[in-house]
Amino acid sequence: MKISPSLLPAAAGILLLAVWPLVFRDSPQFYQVLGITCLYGTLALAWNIYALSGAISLGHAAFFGLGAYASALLNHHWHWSPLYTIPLGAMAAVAFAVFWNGCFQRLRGVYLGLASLAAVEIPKTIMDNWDRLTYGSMGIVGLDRLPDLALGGLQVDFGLNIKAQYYVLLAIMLLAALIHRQSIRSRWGWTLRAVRENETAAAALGIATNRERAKALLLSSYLAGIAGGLYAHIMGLVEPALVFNLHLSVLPLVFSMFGGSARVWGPVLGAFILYPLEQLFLQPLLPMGHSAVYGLVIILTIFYFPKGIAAWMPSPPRSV
Amino acid sequence: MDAISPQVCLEVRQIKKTFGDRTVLRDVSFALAPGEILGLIGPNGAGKTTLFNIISGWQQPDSGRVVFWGRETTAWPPARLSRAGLARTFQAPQIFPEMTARENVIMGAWLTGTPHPPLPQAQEEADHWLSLVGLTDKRLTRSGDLPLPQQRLVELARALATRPRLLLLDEIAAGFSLSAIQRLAAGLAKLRDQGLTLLLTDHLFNLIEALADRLLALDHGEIFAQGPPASLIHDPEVVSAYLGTRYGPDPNGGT
Repeated sequence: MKISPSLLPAAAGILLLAVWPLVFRDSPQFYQVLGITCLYGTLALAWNIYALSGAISLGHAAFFGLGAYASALLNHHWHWSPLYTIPLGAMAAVAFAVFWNGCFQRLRGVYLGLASLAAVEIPKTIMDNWDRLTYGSMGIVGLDRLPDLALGGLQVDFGLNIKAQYYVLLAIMLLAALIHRQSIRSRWGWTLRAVRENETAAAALGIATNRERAKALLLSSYLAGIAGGLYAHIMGLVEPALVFNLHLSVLPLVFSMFGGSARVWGPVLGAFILYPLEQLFLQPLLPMGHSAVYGLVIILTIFYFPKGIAAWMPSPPRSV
Repeated sequence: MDAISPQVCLEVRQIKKTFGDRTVLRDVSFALAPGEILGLIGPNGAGKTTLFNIISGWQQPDSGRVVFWGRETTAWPPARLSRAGLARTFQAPQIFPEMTARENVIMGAWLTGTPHPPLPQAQEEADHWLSLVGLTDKRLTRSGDLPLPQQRLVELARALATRPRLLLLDEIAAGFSLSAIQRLAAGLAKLRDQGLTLLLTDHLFNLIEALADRLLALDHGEIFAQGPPASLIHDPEVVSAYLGTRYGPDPNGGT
């Protein structure tokens, strides 16, 4: 990989994220918020891979929730370690993506948005009512936390050590960011961009537009499923109302659009500005009106920077 | 008649197409030899674009067949036809608006062909095609910001970059100045000498007259005359078709 100027701000950002827990405030709540930020950043990156093909999903809570439930069920009923249940459970999200693709392949724009919004109800209703397997709306509690890591003499407890947990979530988010980066910069990334910008022109170049969009959806759903599985084992519980929440469909959209949906670091930037802003500053400062201020910040930013705040970054988007 | 001849680049057999109760194409048949430049003329609404859409897979005929290099392609989707070597441009240019002109053309070279060429080669080819259509000085402009005639040139250069065996140009010269048309005709003639087969429409005759080996005249969905450009353009029947008097008043109010 060539070192390009565009990597410098990214490298600086990663370094900052890696060292600041060592330097700054030592409160568990702080790391908790940063860890969840990384988790939502992963979800936003996942959402954005699908968006790179021109599809705006309002249903990624379905993938998140299925990843969470599948991992929880494997862990609860078969006592497998989260180390295996999370990557395996995410396959449930991919299976749902295959169904989604079959049904929604022809839908575009607001119609796809509406259909995907409604699609979340399918897995949610199943988890809500299959009492013998899922305990219905009570959910499943007492799930295993993220496992310990024993490396030689070093023992790290990723389940209870919030700081260690933050680093795990940061690493997973960076992995997702790398996949996201390749989904923009590679030849396939440009194929997705062609499909996004003009489907007719893309087809006229011989691109099988539906197939390329489906690939993006499958990759996107897998990563969203991973995020869901992580969430289940960080919280130690799943509940239909919690992991299929509309909130989880909207957050990645907001983070990606706010940060810059066409930019490599856009979704991460959006997550790292908005979520800590809300959790660490607005909520403590304005216990009553924080949501309104939060909304106002988003509206003003989108208004003045329709391409996201990543447009502020020094290097222009990579050309070919 | 069913034997498929490999010496023919494109064969269109008895294509029929209706939209509702309006017949747009009735029994259109013709063949195109490799290296030939065939012009399709006819007044607005004669069925030229519908015929293009059927050949390139964007629409299905009600009956009839399209044979491209010896293979029946009537039911093929556009992307598959493109991969088989059929490129086209559209009357309303279809570009990637957020990309620069150069990036548009690079997509034509880089995302097509098996195996895909490496990026540096695609860039080199893109610059070649951009200079051929005369857009070198606009190559770094966001293509959506270019005026329509130049967007057509971007689309043409991108189509050429896919290295097609047959190129369909739909009203490519609309809005061009005479000197631009001459430049374009010279560029396309050079490509013909390198083996490109061309099918083009032009409802004004400027480009076609300078370029085509043979013309087909289409009116009300029928080929009613064909021949070399010099003789056909002055054919009284062709003239009356353009004046809208060949069929008498059109009960549909034009197609």
